[in-house]
Amino acid sequence: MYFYYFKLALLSLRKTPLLTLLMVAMIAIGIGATMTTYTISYMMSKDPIPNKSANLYQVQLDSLNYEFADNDILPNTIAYQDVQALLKSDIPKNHVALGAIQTEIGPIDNPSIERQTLEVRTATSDFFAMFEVPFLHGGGWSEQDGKDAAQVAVLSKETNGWLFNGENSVGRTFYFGKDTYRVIGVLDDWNPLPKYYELSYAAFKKPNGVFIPFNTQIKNEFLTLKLISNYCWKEPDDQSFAALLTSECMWIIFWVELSNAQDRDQYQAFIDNHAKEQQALGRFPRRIFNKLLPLKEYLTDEEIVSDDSKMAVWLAALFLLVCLLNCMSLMIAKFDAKAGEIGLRRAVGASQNDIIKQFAIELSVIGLAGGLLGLLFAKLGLMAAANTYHYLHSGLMQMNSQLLMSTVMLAVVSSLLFGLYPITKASRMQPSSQLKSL
Amino acid sequence: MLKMKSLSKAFLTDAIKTQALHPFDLTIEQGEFVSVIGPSGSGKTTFLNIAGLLEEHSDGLYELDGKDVAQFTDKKKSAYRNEKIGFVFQSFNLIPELNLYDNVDMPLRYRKFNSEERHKRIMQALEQVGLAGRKDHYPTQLSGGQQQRIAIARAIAGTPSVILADEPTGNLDSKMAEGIMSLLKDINAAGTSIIMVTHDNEQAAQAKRIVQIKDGHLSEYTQQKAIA
Ligand SMILES: Nc1ncnc2c1ncn2[C@@H]1O[C@H](COP(=O)(O)OP(=O)(O)OP(=O)(O)O)[C@@H](O)[C@H]1O
Ligand SMILES: [Mg+2]
Repeated sequence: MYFYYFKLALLSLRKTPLLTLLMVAMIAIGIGATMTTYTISYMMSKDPIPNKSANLYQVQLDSLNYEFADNDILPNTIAYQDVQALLKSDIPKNHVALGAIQTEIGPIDNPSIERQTLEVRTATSDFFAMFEVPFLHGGGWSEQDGKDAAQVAVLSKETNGWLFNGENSVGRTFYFGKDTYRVIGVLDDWNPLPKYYELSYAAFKKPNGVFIPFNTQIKNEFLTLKLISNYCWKEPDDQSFAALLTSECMWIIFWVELSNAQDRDQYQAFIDNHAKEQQALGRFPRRIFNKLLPLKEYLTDEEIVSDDSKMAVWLAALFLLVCLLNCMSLMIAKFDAKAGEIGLRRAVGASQNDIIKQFAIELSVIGLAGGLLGLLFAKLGLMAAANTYHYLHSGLMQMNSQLLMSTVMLAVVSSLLFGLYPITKASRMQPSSQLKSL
Repeated sequence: MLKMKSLSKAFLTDAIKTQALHPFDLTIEQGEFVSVIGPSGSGKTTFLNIAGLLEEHSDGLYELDGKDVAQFTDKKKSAYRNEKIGFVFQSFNLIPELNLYDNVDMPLRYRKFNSEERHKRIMQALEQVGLAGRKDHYPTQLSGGQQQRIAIARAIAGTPSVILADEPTGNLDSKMAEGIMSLLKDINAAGTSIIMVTHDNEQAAQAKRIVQIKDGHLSEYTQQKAIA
């Protein structure tokens, strides 16, 4: 029977091609706009590391001598002295100190490839395990490499692509500023969205291209101030790098992975204890107030998941509503024009339910067509967005299969929902009065 | 088979009440051929629609096969129309985008017959009206008389016990009308009851029973010489 209804639906849609086209286009435009904005918003707000996000915490220490912001809001970064102390703990499953520098890199033996200036992530050795970074070749550096400030690097797939032609470059060297560094690992595609381990301003920027040990940055005294959040509430003794390291300047992001509540409590006690020790030495003048900020709270507190994108979705949804209401009036007109057929079908034995089924299928076909066309519109919309916001992570502008499915579903369900009234109206009419109009 | 007792029908539109049918009694047995005559607007179509469960009566009792139709749900009424009643309308009422085969198929689809059974019945009905050879044609490719034959094929494909025909020859010239009349008589001869509204007194006279409606009042007289 459903096949019969399907056949009738196609016949009916072919009978009024312009009306059909209008309805499909109406749904497609509304769906396209909604799904374009929804995709961006969804991608911004989805959990970037779902199996671990509950165990990741950003360490925040109140080493200041005045209130930073609202009473319990602290900087996202901590001082180098504290990093050194925290790295000694073996409570966390993983912990990582993060810095960032900018440098020029290029090939040693291939002058045809131009050097490029890249943002380099500096990190302690747990980085790759902690954030589940996938490798194509080789691996990250060891703790010992870190301690030795080894001149080693991990390249992103993209960097390896232009620098080494995409070959397995493990063991090969390249220019890192004036020095030569050895590649020890090449990443597979890794585009966490948002880039949650970053400072909020960079959360939707492109992934890093090069990674080197944190200590290598320290030993070589690399510093790119525009890439870090250097909160120097107390001036360092002088302008030297050594002075920065012993200063109160807070510029290092510090993440820990704590497997359970017990570890978390223990680690909280550990950092509080550290603060007390430092207080005894004259630091931490104001209070002992240190935070382990869960990743999810960090994302919302920092408004990395912004309300603007949600607003856009609401606006688009309103637009969809207008499209659907328009479509609904077309549906009513369509079914009014079919009154004669409905009356006849009722006369030869179709029940109200049979009529409802027949037209529900017709509307599903329209909804499906609208959904598929809407998908195309959404893709175009996302391409346009990716063009306009080229500095943003391209992953934001991509629909996953779940979103593809929901787009089509949304189109079908909403056309049925808005067809409900026209359909029931048509099925409830007295067959005798409908018959007069055939 | 069909029993109406003090049945009446009033339409209420915008607080204006139209008494389309005043209370009347009528019983029709299986196999009868009944003509319904009367001036325009007298209530003939209304009577037929009530008889065919396309319209609800306002007062009185209407029993089909001994069952009170007022108790029927929409589903039951639909099933009844589907299995027991065949309609033939003045304007044929064929679906233009379906071919003749599919037009005749329509009531059978709601009957949940399998495709073999449907095919058998469709071909039988088309043969009976003499148009089996044109099953793949579309309604617009036929003359009016042929279209009405298809409508009759559609009405008989489900082997109903009664055919309700509302001026089936109203849109046809007298020669074609004759053909339709003889077709209906054949169908009646095979045992199917027929209730036919007509303007044509000569046609009406061919039935043994004639129901006359005037301003919603029913009266009945029986013919001496008649076909059934
Ligand atoms: N749905 C309706 N609403 C209100 N009044 C109606 C409705 N249908 C019919 N009527 C009225 O009921 C009366 C009988 O109408 P009906 O169609 O039964 O006449 P008829 O005998 O079939 O006429 P004709 O020979 O012209 O077809 C008319 O006065 C008509 O205006
Ligand atoms: Mg009439």
